[in-house]
Amino acid sequence: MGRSAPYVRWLGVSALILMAAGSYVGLFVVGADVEMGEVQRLMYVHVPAAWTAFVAFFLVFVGSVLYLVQRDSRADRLAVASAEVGVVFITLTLATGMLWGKPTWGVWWTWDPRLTTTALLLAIFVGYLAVRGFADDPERRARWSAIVGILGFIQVPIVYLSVVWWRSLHQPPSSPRSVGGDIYATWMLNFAAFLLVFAYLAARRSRLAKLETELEARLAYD
Amino acid sequence: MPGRIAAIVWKDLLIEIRTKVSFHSMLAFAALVLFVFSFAIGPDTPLLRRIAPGLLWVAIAFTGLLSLNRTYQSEEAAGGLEGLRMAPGDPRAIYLGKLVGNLLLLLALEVVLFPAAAVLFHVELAPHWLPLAAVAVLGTLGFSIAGTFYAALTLHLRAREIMLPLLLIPALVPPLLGAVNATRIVLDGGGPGDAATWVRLLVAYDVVFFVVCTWIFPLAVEE
Amino acid sequence: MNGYVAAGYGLIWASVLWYAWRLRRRLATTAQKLSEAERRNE
Repeated sequence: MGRSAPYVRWLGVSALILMAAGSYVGLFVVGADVEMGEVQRLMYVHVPAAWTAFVAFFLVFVGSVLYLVQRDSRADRLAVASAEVGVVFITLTLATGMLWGKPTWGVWWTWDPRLTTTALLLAIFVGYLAVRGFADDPERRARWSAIVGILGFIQVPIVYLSVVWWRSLHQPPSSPRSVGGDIYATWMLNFAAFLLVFAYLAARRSRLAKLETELEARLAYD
Repeated sequence: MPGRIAAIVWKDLLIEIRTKVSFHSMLAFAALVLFVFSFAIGPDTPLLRRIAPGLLWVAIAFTGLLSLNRTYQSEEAAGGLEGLRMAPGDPRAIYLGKLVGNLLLLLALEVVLFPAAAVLFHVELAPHWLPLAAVAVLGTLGFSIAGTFYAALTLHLRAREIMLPLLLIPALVPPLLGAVNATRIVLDGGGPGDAATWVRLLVAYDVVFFVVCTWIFPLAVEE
Repeated sequence: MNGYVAAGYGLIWASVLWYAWRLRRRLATTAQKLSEAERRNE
């Protein structure tokens, strides 16, 4: 019961292999950026982690909408699994961002729009999981967290824009440097790896959700 | 439906006018918040003057948060939300009625709090009172729209007192930034053009959240 | 290797492996409780 279907296990193995490949390339193969030095290697994982976190967040939104429309527990499982795994990736995005920021800017934190929005995104995810933790009735839990998930998703672009404007009061927005083919390829490799990792972990988390629901139902039956 | 909304607003308003409990305690709390911040930051008057808009809106937000907890309290005590909900007609009337009630209460608070902050932080209000009022309404509206909604959503959650701020505060970042910066620009003597970006942010936020929250409210309170 | 880079990559690997392991534990525990509940229901 606790074991997942074979295809999930293969998913996990592929994810592991691809992630190893991505780390190897990022650490040893791609040349360190001439301007920014070794620390730039963190960008090879920080950016894909951020993209994966946004995919996770989008899936929370999709699951939430589908649940409210269809009231199908599969949609609810998609939402909660994406949220929990999403928290992992958001936290990694923040951590790698800060680890890059310290040697680069000399400080652990700046009120950079993307970093700030990522931190608020974490707060929104945590809020979503907290709602689920504090609601006992399964239907209400699914419904309320779905509403929170949808509202949270809508908040993010508005928050991002406001923080960009807020920061532009004090500094001009940094112009993005054009990115070389090597870097782009490494981003894509790690993004693919993280997506597979996300899919594997979400599938497992979804299975856990299914078992927990069954357990709840049986315990209520007693 | 307008009739139901008006009825809800009027009922809550009557309770408030008769007891004045909420308003007085909110006012005291808001003033205390301003004092606490001033003590924490220090008597550096130019500094306080510079951050006055921020302090003011944080005080409004915290006070509003506390008063939100009581939004549906009178209904809860009398088992009333069920009654309101089962009455024929759109449950959205409940949301809109409570929204207007919260808005009016906070605006009444601000009528006193803005001058109080002006006194404490050596800020000139009088020449700018009209644009200031406009910003105050837009910002308070944003707070009330999101706050009234999340208050209903978290009504039956365990640990409700922490869940409401936890969910609401990220949602309040845009209107907070908009209100604080627009207030600061207005107080510095800027014209409507300078504050335009922030006003646009406030209006966009208010419109988007009003539409979404009103639309989805029945799902939040359904049995 | 740069210490920050090592910390970053290390953190990613540690988190992913830790979370996968946690899921495995939670799945095992829940599956066990479910079996017990099923047996009792009979």
